[in-house]
Amino acid sequence: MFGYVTCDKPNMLVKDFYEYRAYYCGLCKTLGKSYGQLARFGVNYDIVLLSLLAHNYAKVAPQFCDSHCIAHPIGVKRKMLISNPILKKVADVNCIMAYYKLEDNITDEGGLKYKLAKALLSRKYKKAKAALPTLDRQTEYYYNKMRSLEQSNNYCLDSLADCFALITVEIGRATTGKEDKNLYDFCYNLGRWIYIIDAVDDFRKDLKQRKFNPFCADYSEDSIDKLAKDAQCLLTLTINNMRIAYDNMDITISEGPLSNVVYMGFAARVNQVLQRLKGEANESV
Amino acid sequence: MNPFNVLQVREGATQSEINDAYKKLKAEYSERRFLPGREGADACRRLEEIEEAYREATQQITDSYNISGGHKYQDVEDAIREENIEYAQTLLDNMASRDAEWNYYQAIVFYKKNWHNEAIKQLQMAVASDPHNANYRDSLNELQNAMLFGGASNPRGSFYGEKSSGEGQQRSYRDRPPQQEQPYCCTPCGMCQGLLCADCCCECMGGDLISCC
Repeated sequence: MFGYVTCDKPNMLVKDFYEYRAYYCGLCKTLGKSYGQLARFGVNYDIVLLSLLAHNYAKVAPQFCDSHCIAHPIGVKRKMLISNPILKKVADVNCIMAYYKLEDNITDEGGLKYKLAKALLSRKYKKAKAALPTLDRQTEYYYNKMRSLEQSNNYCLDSLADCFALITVEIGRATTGKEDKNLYDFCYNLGRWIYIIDAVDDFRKDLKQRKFNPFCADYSEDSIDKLAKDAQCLLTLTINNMRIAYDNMDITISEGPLSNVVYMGFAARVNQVLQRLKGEANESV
Repeated sequence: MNPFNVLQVREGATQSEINDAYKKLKAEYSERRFLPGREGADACRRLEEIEEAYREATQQITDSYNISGGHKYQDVEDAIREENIEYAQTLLDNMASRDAEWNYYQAIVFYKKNWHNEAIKQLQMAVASDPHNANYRDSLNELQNAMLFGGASNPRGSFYGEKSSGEGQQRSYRDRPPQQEQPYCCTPCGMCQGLLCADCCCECMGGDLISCC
């Protein structure tokens, strides 16, 4: 479900890209320190976006350092964020999300790999849960709601996306520690966007494997083009709502990378996913 | 005197509650009215009061229906205007009729909740059941346009009532049109490579495309 948020790298200033990646690396380092090496696999750019917002809400300008990445131990050092209380909180959030994602994978695909990872992560998860009890409770509630909707073959895209959107709202609330309309709108639409784009991206696979997908009720192999068109419409509106909410936010920290993600990254990802959807359709013909 | 108090029901009771209360009270006092002396006279007076209250309460309920018959969705509209979307949804859920107007208001509620897919469906239903209503048609068009081009490019925004503002205007990357990545082969570099590649292939097969290499 995660990993769809991205920057539009070809249309991004190099300094903005390095700054963006610095948030990612800083989070990964913090995760390694507070939750162990395994938790580092859970790091993704979705949560980095929320981290950027959280820094803006707290008005904490991050400090940067140059350090080696664990995946690239040799070579040039990378710019990354020095750990701060906000990053620690984001790491807590990330740990909880990683745990639920694993659970999701286990129910979806099963597999020993995920079960093992879950067992290894469960102690860390308890620590994160203790730090953010509300987030965990809400996530569990909406996650179960989404599951039961899926199991009862409820194909109402909006109410399914609603569950994930409300989880994202909770994440936003937990990372920033604040609540306002802009943040709510932004996070709600972000979660909605992630759910829809994930469903679009998985459509062919789910169709083939006869798995649940909210689009399976209305679309089939033959109506991929229509699905692409409709999905584009839904996603455009959702992106637009995010833009409006973002326009009204007070953004002073790392504005460049953040604006690139919001104004260009979402649209670029939509294009990419839709191309893939249509491309595969052509291949099979 | 408040007819609802006389009938011993809560303010805003439904017609059937009033009917039940009226029947019960009437039966009770009808018995007593034949009692001798003061008690019988009191019961007679009470009966008259009950009749009066019953008529009045029924009238009030019919009136309230008639008022909202014109603006049946006034409450819903108010709730939407106050951004009390959950309450608006409850009001809609409790309504018996599901006419085109209901679909229209449901669409607005869905839109406000960001449930765009359902909003479109409801608007389509509204247009289908009342094709002559320009308001429904315009709203549907507006929503579909917003989905195609993004709501920001839509200056009217009457259906949405929200417009982008604030300090976002000056941000980086904001007004850049989304750019498509150019296909690899059309760049000068790609063309050269393509030619060289073709030349190699030709040479393999015994021919030659670029004679000098």
